[in-house]
Amino acid sequence: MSKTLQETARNLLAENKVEVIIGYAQGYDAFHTRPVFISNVEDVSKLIINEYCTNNLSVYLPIHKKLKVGIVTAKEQDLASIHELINEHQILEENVIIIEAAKQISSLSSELGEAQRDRGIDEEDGRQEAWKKRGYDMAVEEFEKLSAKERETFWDKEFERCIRCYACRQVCPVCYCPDCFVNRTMPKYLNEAVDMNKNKLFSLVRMLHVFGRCMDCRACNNACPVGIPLRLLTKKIAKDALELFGYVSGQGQEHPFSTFEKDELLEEIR
Amino acid sequence: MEKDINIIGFLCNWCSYAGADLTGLNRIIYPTNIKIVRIPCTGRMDPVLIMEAFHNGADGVLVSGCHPGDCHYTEGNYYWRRRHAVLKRLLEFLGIDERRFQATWVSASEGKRFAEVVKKVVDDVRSWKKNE
Repeated sequence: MSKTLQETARNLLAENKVEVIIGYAQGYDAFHTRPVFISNVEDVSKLIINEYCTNNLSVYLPIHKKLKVGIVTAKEQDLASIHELINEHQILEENVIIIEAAKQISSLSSELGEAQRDRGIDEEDGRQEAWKKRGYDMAVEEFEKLSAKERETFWDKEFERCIRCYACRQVCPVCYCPDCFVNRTMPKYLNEAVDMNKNKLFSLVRMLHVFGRCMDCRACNNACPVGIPLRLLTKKIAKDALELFGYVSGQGQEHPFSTFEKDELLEEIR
Repeated sequence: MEKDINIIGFLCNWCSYAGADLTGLNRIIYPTNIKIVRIPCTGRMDPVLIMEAFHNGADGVLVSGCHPGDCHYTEGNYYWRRRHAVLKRLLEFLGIDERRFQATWVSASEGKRFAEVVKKVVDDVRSWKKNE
């Protein structure tokens, strides 16, 4: 698998079709990979591709938009993210060459399996039970059936751990704003103080900002150092977009917030 | 005495704020639990402000704008209607009771209606607070 990828990368670099290749390299152990930027032909042997390539590399595209870039995609969602960035005019289509490795990776069947793979959790490992207990494998529909109080308690417990490191924002391909609302000083919405409510505010507003643009690539979910199940939120906004507007992100439809219909009936406004 | 509820009302400058003015001009009595913030248009309504209100201790938030088709800026409230639907669902998902976040349309001539709207919101939020 990695050999074909390396061969493709070598050809691209040798023929001067790209200036840099963004791909995956071996991380600190067998279960982790890290992003790598390759501009010398000698270095292509560093490139690998396997089922632990979970980062969404398209996050590096907007900052390299002036270069000709070859990018390795390991998931369908990574590919969708690149197309979203092109649609949002963040990168030029002709500057990007996609090296699709997505189909080479055998996908694990269940959602839970995927989520576990993302975090490098073994099935035999006793952590699977803990995972289930904390509701991480919960479907959105299931979660919505809980009472408001139960939902609040669940999120309170989760967001209590948030250290607002903004890793979820940094790894998000569609969170490319150079001036994020949390960093603004006029008005200053967020400061550095420890405040669980502000943690919640940040995540909720981020979800609104990525509404309809999120490709559900799970990068934020994986990046979270304290393990907040952000996937539940991204799945929720994807569900809402479909239910309310019949919108599926990454399909080239017009964004639901930039258009409207005069006679539509959404939530009831008296 | 038990602490009374606090509601933040975000009213659009052109319809609902004028409507609230009319309520006062007509000497219609309505609950004083609502604190009004004037916004240029519901299309400008930033979800951050709503979350800030909740997190700073508001029991309820009311957003009110022009009726569909009457927007001073032609289409601001149509955009708001879409964002409201998403925001409401997301807030409910995070565990904020649906009674606490409400939206209405009140025009500049509906002073009486504004009083009724505020009464209803206050009742709703009270009933939520009671069961809390």
